[in-house]
Amino acid sequence: MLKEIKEIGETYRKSIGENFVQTLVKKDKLKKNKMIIVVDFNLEDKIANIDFVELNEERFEKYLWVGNRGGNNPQDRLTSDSVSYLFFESPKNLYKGLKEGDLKNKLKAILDEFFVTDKLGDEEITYLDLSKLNPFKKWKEEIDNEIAKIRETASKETDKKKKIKKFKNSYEKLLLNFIEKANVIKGEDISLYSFTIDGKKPSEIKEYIEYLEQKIIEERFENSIEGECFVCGKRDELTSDTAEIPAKFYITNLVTFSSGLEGEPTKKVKIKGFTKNFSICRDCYKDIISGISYMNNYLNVYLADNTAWIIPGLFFNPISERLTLNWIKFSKNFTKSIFTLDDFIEYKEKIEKEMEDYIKNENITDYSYVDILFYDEPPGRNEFKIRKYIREIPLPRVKHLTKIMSEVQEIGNELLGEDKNWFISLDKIYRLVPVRKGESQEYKKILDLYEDILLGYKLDKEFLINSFMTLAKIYIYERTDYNVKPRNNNDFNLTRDILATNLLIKLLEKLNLIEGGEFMNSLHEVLDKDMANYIEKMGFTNEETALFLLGYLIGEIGAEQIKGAEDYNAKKPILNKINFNGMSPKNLLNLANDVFDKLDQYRIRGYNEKIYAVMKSLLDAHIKNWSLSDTENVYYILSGYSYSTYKRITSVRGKEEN
Amino acid sequence: MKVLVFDLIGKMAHFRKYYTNSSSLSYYFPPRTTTIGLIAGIIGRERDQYYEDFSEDKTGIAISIKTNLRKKINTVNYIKAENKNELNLSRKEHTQVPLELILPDEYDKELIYRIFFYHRDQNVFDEVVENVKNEKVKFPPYLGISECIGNIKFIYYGDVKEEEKENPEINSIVSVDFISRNNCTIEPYEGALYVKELMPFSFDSNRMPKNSPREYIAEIKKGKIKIRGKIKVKVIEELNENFLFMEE
Repeated sequence: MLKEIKEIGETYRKSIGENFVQTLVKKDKLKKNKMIIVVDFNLEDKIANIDFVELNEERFEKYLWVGNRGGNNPQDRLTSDSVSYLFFESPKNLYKGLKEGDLKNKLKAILDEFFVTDKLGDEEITYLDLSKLNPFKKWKEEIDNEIAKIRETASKETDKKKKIKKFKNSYEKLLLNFIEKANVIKGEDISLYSFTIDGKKPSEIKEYIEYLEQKIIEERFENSIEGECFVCGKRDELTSDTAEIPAKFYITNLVTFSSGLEGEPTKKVKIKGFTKNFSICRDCYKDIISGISYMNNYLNVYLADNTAWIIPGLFFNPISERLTLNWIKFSKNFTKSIFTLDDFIEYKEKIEKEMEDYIKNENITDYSYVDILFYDEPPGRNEFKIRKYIREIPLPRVKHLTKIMSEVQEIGNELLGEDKNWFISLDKIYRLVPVRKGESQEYKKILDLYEDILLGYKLDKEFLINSFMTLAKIYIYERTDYNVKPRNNNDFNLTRDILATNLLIKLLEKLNLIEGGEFMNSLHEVLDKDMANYIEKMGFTNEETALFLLGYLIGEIGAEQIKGAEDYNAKKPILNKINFNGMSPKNLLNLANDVFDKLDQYRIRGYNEKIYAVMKSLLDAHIKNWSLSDTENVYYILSGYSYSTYKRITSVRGKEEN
Repeated sequence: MKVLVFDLIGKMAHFRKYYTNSSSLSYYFPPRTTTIGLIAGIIGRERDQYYEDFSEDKTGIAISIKTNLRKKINTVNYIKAENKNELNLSRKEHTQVPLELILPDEYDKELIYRIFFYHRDQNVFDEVVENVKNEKVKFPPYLGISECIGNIKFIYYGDVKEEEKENPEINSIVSVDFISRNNCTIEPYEGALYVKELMPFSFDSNRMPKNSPREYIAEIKKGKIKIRGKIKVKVIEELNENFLFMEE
């Protein structure tokens, strides 16, 4: 992980001319129609203009959005997503932190000319005087009155923090009101705020860039030691102050994490004792920060309601290729192609468009891998917890998975009719293996399943069948505490999803992760061609086939029971015969007898005689040594029911559409 | 040249990666520093007192993975203490840390790492051999953390040959540096799963890294690495084992 992050960071830094601060630019707020509010201070004419600029990738770089300062550090950035930082303390703190020079002088002039220091009772507060901004000037009287009111209300608070917070919140509201008045931009359309000086954007102010690097890197090395870097092994100046590394996977605030419990902070040396745990050189420090920034911007993905990084790397390889940004992006998109059908289609389209690049990349595919690191980083909390780290997934394995997923989709299309539902992507699997919401441990089962699939570990079929039965119960009992939600036409969604679970089992069989059954050729002679094909392609065993056929007959009876009803979701009393919590072999025999009676009752035995005969002979042949569990019994009955019902619904819909 | 071979056996292991502590990730196999710590513990050497005695010029360590491996993450509660005074739980808080555990692919089996050990100082070597042969240890062995208690099992003490082999199959983990230096490559097996670990190699007397970190490759499903090229390997015919020392 660390080596890959460093390599990505190194590559990223080189790609933009070793400009470290530029690598920190965050592109996290790039959404359609989002704006950046820019205040430009023209010092010669002593005018401040407020401008409204639409955000794009380039503008993040120009305005140098590198995030606010972390922790309890004083805010000092010229671009921020917070009014309460930028319009209040940032310019003052930046002024204090800067060395003597042009920028410091200009900030002094800005603070003197455009900022005011007010009293909130005993507390002093400095903020940008909104009435000095163009075009707000014309509303000076109104602004002054509003500020006076805000000041008065906030002053009434006794708590110092609350007092300031109240003032800042009301100030922000006031600012947004006037922005809306001036340009019809609403608060929710604004992503960022930035100050420019004499037309120069933050990225064009050299002293500011040097200041940022000083704060982020050089101040970490103020208590450096000499030694071998823990990452690259080079003998150099080292620091163990990792406070500026954005993802907090390494922390130094707990003494228990330090070697020999020496990590207790003192006033003099804040990070004493962590040098033996993790100390890094300046280059590695920069590379790691840049690498994380790149990953957050370009390699962050969302899968199964979890955030993750796709971290590409090259294994020991004879062609001595090095990571390039193109390859990193390619690896990510390639890996994402198994996430959803849309990703797969997008990737396929890209291959066709960029065939040449793809062929070039294929040369190193065999030596490449990706790690998928699922993490939890709750907003506002200084925490980074790893939920699952799936390592060294060879890209040829990803390629194999896309091939098998496509093959299974084709099987689904051929047997059940075309439907995007038959593409069993990783995201689709998440919709078939339900996860109970609000239980923090529940996500583990889906992430473990992903690991099994991606790294080729054998799977527990019983776990899958149990999950599929949970899925069925969500639809049948309309449960709402899972990631899968019952929808309006439950019967259709249930049957479609159960058939998708059949295809998922097929996919796993093709990947050699679970065992498949052997098909009886004689079924082709007695069953309808489509059904025999389905059973053959799904690889059902004899016992599974018996239950599938039993389920099919239940589907047929159910259809008769709702004949004439207005929708397919009308109650089918025959389903009450199924115990969704599991059915023993004895229950199966009783059910088979009930089905026989119902076929007679609804006068459809004639059409289904052959199917019943095959089902009963298979059931009788195996019932004494029945190998399936009670839950599996219900699952395969439900599979047959789904096949019958889905075919019937799609056929009726097809006729209606024609 | 003689070599001692013994198995380190346990239910599970955790060899913590040094660069993350808010989550504890694990290496798939013990780093060299952990392994010499285990051996030093067998003969009763005190914490942080053995680094020089087991330095790379005096010691040979090889590790072979004898179980199919996989990882699972479980969250554990650690004491939350910002200073030593809070170690008595006075803070009444825990910090939850996801802990990655190494387990055998089949959970009912045991996790086995085979360790090959050589020491230039005959006295030290004899002491280790004696204790391992009798399976008597001064400090109890564990697999990375004391919660993963383990035991050792003597396998072999005897001659090891060095042979030049063409395209050999290696039973131990292999250093990336060794492969580069010898101009060879790895020939993948069907269904193999390779992992590359960047890990500490040795410590100086202040417990700061020395000649570290180094990268090693392991295969975690079959435990064997097929090398394409001509290299010198250590061979124990009696055990049908080819291996390479981590120091090579």
